[in-house]
Amino acid sequence: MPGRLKSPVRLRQDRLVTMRDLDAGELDRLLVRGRELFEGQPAEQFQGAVATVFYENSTRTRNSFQEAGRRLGLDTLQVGREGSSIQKGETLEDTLHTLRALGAVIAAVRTPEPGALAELPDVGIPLVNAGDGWRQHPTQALADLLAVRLAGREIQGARLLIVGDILHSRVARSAADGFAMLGAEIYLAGPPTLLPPGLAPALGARLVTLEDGLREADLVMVLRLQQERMERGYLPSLGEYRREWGLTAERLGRLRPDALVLHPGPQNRGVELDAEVIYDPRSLIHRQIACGVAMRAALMEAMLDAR
Amino acid sequence: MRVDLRGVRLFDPAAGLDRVADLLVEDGVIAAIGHGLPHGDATVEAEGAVVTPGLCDVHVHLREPGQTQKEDIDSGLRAALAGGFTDVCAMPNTRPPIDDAWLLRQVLGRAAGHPVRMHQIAAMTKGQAGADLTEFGALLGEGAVAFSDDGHGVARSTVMRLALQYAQAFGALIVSHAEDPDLAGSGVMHEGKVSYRLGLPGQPRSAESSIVARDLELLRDVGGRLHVAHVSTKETLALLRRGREDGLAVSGEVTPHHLLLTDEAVAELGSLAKMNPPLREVSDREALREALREGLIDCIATDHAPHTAQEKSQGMLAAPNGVIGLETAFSSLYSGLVQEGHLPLERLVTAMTAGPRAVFGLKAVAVREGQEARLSVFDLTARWTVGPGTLRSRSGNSALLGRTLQGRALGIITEGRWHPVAD
Repeated sequence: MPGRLKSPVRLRQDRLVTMRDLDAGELDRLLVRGRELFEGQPAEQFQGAVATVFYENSTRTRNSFQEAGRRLGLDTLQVGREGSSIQKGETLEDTLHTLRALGAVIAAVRTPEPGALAELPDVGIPLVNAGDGWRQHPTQALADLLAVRLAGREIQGARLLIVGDILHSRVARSAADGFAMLGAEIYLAGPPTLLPPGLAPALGARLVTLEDGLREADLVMVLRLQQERMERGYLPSLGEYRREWGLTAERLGRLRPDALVLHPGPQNRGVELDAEVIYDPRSLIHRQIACGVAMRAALMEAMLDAR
Repeated sequence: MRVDLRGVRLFDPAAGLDRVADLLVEDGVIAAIGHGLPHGDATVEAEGAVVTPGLCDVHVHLREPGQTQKEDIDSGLRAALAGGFTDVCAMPNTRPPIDDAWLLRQVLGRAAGHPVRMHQIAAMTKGQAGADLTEFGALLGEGAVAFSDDGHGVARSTVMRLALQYAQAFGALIVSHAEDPDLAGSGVMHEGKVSYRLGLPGQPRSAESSIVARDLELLRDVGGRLHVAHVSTKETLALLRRGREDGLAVSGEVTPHHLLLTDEAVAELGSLAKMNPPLREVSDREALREALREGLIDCIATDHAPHTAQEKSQGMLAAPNGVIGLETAFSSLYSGLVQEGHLPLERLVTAMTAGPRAVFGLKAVAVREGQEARLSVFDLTARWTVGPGTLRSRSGNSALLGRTLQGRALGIITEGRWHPVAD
């Protein structure tokens, strides 16, 4: 085949469980490739299917993996909790073997079990963690990194403030890893019930008040606040959360003029952020989604090439 | 029946004994200690080995009745023998729990005739449900050595208070699994730096120490005797120290895994390092070692908790709590603490023999002429690697798989006979 396209990225392993499975060089090259794909360069084409195995609900991440697969010429196979053998107690390992037999050449897996993919024996196809409980969601971090780069920002030396429910956030854990690997400084702010004292150092980050953080930050990542936190008593009310930790229109005014705002979606408007924030010129929220497709395509391309 | 050992190191810290000599056992009694003793009917080939009072483990889960896919009394006692134990105390959280005298007689009957003696701790409340006290009098009459709802924290303070009061009619010991179930919540490991990094739900250290504080205040209030099982935090140790200073009748035990491992093991081993109480931090492990050295803790117990490979393979969130420990307890502590200079051999042996027997009111054992021969024999030079093939327990859920340990039991002497591990 003349001039067959190849991914310019070489990965050392064919399983991405946490951001730390990549080194800074691999991460940087993936972002370069992701940018090319974002800008419309053709991707390498493969036979077979991308399987999405989601033990938890998801709209955007699942669709993003499927769309990224289409960019690579892949069909899609999907397994969800409802109406699948998962309900019959089939193990993840068996499910993946079945999907491979049906033509899957790569799989994206979302599970409530932190570290589930790390403990899984080899199943013969590359695996991407699409979110494992509270632990990691590495392709979200890849999308966020690309969104920041596309906005023309250096990640090296940037101050990233992550606001909200850090304790239960796989987005925060993978972002803290990914941005730090490329030289950013990580700051965390949120209610002490969801950001206990030992948490920031455990993630290589510094604890700040929201006001200090907003004043200094180059990048502000606002996390989704789940209704469940109220039910478990972590917080007295959504209203109080918004008043104390929400990125309101008023607080937006205190951000640096060149700061950028990220949110992994879906947003609870009027809780962790106001609608004005989403449509502010400093918001990358809509671009993050397109970046997610490009980065998932870049990642899967490199993983499939390594096989 | 006469059994003799020649040129062995007789080591009994409680009796101040540490000498190389021959030993002759006759009709179950230590008949003579000396040099050039006559041969018995059987000579144990153990020259250079160390002979101690029989090891006693006051906290094991043998899973019979009800969960014999994990372990049963026979396999559990064979594992005990392989670890050099002559006595074990089984916890009552079987299915059903050992909460009445008839059941207790049945399980003790299942252990009869085994070289290792099984003692039974009875449930403190009916069904271990944490509400109504069991018949302490009847259970003691069948041989119960203590009462515990181990496996569950006793959430209701009034129940613990009543148990401490009622037990005084019989001078009985209450063993507390100190855990506030509300605080422990759905935590699957120690809450701290490692749980935060791994994104796993943690249980805070205060889930243990807050209950110990409560129980000590109850002891101060109504009296009684309390033994705190598997102490895991430095805060609990501080409370025990104060309780002792105040003259309360309180003791504590510590497990080999809490003495040797920390929560970092979870990152490496996953559910094989999942247990309750969970592995804690380096500062806790160091405090436990210090407490053992100075005698605040006088009792090592394994909390031997067998689970099948399938149960343990469910991942950190769903896998059951517990590790096995009978076969590795002495070896791992000899390797990890004594050889590394953290603990004198004398303290290790005391905390595995005289210490637990004193707490549980079991008959004292000594390496002395005229005493019952209940002895453990170790080769301190033997090196072995912990692997599925080396374990006699029905389950292989050891956190030490793959580790090479030094020191290994050769066998025990009970009922006047030599019971080698090799069999």
